[in-house]
Amino acid sequence: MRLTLPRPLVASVVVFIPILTLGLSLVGDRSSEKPLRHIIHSNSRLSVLRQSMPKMTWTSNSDEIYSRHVLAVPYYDVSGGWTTELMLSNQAPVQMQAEITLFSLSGQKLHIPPVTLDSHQAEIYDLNQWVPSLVFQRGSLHVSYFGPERVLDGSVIITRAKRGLVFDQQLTEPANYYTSSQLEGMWWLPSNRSDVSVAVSNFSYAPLSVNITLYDPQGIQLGLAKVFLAAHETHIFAPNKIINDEDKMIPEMGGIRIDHTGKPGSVLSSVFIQDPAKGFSYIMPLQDPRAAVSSRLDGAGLRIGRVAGEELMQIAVARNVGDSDLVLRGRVNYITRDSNTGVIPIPEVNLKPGETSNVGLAKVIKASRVNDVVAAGLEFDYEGLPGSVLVSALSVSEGGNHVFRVPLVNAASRSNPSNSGKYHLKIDRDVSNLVYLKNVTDKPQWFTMSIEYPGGLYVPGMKKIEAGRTLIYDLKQLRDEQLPDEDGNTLPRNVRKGYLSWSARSADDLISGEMERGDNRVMIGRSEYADMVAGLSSTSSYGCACQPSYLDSWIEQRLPNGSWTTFSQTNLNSGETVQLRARQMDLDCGGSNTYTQTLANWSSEDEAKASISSSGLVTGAVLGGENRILAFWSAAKWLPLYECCEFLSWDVFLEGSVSIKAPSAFVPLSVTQTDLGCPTNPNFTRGFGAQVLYQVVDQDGNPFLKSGMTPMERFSVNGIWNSQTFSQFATPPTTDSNGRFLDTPIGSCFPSHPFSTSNNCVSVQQVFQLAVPNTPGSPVPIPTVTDRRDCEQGIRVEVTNASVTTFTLGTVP
Amino acid sequence: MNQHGPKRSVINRRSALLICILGMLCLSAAARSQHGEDKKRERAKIRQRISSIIRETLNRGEITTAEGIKVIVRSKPETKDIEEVVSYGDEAVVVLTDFLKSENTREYELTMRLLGALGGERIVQPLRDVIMFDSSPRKREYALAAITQAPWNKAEPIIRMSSETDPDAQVRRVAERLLKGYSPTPKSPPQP
Repeated sequence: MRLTLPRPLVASVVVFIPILTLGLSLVGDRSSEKPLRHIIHSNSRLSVLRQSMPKMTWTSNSDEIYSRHVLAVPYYDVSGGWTTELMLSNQAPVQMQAEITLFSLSGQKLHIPPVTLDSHQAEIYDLNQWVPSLVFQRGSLHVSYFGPERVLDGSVIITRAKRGLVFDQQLTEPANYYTSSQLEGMWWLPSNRSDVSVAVSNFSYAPLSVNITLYDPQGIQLGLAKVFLAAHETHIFAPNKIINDEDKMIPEMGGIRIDHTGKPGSVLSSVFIQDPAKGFSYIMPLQDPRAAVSSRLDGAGLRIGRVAGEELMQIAVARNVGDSDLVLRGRVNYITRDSNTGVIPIPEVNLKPGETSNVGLAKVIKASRVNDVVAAGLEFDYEGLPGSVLVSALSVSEGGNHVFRVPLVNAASRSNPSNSGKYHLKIDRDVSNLVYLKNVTDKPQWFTMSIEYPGGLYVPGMKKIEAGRTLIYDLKQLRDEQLPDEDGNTLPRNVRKGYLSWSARSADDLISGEMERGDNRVMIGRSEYADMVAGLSSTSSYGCACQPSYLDSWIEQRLPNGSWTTFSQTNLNSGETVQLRARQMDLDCGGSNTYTQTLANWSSEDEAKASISSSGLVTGAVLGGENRILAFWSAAKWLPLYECCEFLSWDVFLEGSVSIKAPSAFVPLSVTQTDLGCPTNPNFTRGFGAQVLYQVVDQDGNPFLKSGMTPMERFSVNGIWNSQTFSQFATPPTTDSNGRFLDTPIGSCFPSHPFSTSNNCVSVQQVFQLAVPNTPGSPVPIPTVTDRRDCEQGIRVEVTNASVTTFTLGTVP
Repeated sequence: MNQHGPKRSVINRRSALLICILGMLCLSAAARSQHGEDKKRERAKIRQRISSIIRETLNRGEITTAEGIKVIVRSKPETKDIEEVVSYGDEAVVVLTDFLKSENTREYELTMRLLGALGGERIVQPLRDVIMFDSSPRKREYALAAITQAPWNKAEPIIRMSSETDPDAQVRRVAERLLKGYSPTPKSPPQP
């Protein structure tokens, strides 16, 4: 049910009574009935580890985001050796209930008892168990739930395992995302033995009529059929039955257009292509071209290379569904195993209205001689109205058994999940379960990622993805290679499944109060599941409707044992360091997610007391005292209003304090007599030698216990300074582990003879600096002054700090 | 004639090869000799510079006050001089080792300070020789202080031995103090 209050009123309510922080608790009752059949992820509600933060709750009591959603696919089949499985995934952090309805081909309704899914749970249901009679062996399927947009998603997978045939259809909500009563699609046949079927299903409760038009590759009409569909009726037909010339074979490729008399989203349709002899199967869902909002299509995860010992061939077929000539430009953006990146340009393709053409993808990839591609993405753009071009792409093995579909989507459109993804992944023998992420813009983007596994959380954290780049994530690889996450944790070696969640962030050029635009949808992603032995693969793309919304933030400091704790105040000696990190907690349709905000700006109030690097490393500088450390960045809050999300800029400003202990004075601990070593050759000299043991103290007068500091001095003799610069003088030249050093020998040698009674003296003054290794501002001036009276027969040492300490040895006149 | 032709040709080729090898050996020896000469010249130059630095530093400590009193005060090397000596690397150690033999207290103290600035494993051997074999307790004491600037795992056994076996009580005390104060990781008390 949509709220019909005036938008400003709703906005102000939402903004000032922050719905994202409402304290609605998690739904408590988890003892709901078990699903009828459960294939994977048994007891797979994965507990999310919270990192010593206040327990956050996910909720909303807002009518804007809670509404009835009806998802559907046009066709299922459990007849004649086919099986169909419904996979439902609950992205929400709370329990959700789903109502499943099967509609027979003629539109008869079969309600299935509601199923309940725990938070982040995925379940697979075999439709065969629900089908009571032959009537319901084929038809269409609806899933409805009450809650926020996109939190419940799923796929319907029709398989004939013995033949290696699979058709995967993702549940979609046509009433929400379709904007016209026109659907466009196409087909491509790998051989003339291929079978083609088209399913057209009336999604609505009202009868309607459908015009189905077929076109040859040049866009010339091959045939037209008019079909009347009762409520929820599904019509299956072979295209060659409606070709005007019955003797004519269906061409290798062509187009299909459906116009219906119902409301936008009332009809769903898909083209099913199969060659059972080869195990080839492929599905091309028809799309509403008016739902597109930009003239660009992106596909994440084009497989290049070999699979199961067979070379893969890449196919991309494009169709102009617009009214004018246009030029299609494309490219393959790839990254190799040794991290080399590149772009393979696809020659421009001129498409006349209605024309369907193979863009020659395999040829350009082969000609590029690029090897060892680990991840690749496809990009197409054209000059023309958004939605004027459809492109269908796949990689198929030489034998035809392995088919990997690459959905090409208009990322800017709401009809496709973008900027986030929620996938259940599993590790199994002979199974490839990969996640592809693609940046669909021409500049770098940032995204966060976390993986829940039974008993833990693995947080790769905030990552950068370069312009156009496709990244690949493999749970098995992360586990087997023990790749550490941002906290240095690795996935346990016995992990077999996980729930991967990623989110991109983009609020470019938006100001608070504006709605998210198409160009803020910057990344797409999908999960690909492939059984390499059976030759069955499927793709799915689930995500949230809105970008993650800022919820909370704080600063953490790393402890000596490597763990992290909340930072508000810490003590630091000059030259010592402490690593800080800014933590951000976001909330999206899947719940909260905490990660290190690597884009935080750091600043120190007084660099002379402590400096801080751009990565948050604080170094105690030469001046002691209290110092504030600041972290600030721009975050975004997204309010799920109406059909889109409203942006609210949120400036995060955090601070903590560092108390710096710095060397501030040299305190004499003892003065003792020592051998001055006055030369006796060629002329006899003598003097009274002593040594001073100094302690370095901090501003509070406490010993500054640090080794490796180098005391430096300048001195004057009877008022004449020895040097303009400071020199090291201690023996050894650096402090010991207690921050002590020895000034030895002190004293002056006077020309004399062994039996003289003379006692000449000079006045010596020492002033000091201290070099502290790896410390900003070093060397630091030390205000201590040592005044000496060096005589032939004695020495007086006066050390002046806040007070004067005097030592006299021997005879000093 | 025709029968001997190929044989003679082979002999000629062998002779030519032998001459070539001998020539190359001569060239190699000459190059080595040249390299040795270069090294000697370089070391002589370093010796000259380090002698000059030591002399100038010590001269700076011999002053006459405004009142006309001649006095010898301590004189530490300036930072730029230390940097220059450090830039000579291992060659400087060779030169400074000779200065360690000096009986002049000011000269060997300065030499030890420069060795300390050079640091590294390379300063261990010359300082170890002083600590173990020099007859002057005072010189051994200063050598102990200087050897703390070497890697601790190399310096520690020498200082420890000195703390236990040096005939002079003052030197043993200095060694004990250095062991206690300059160990990078103080040893924890033995576990029961």
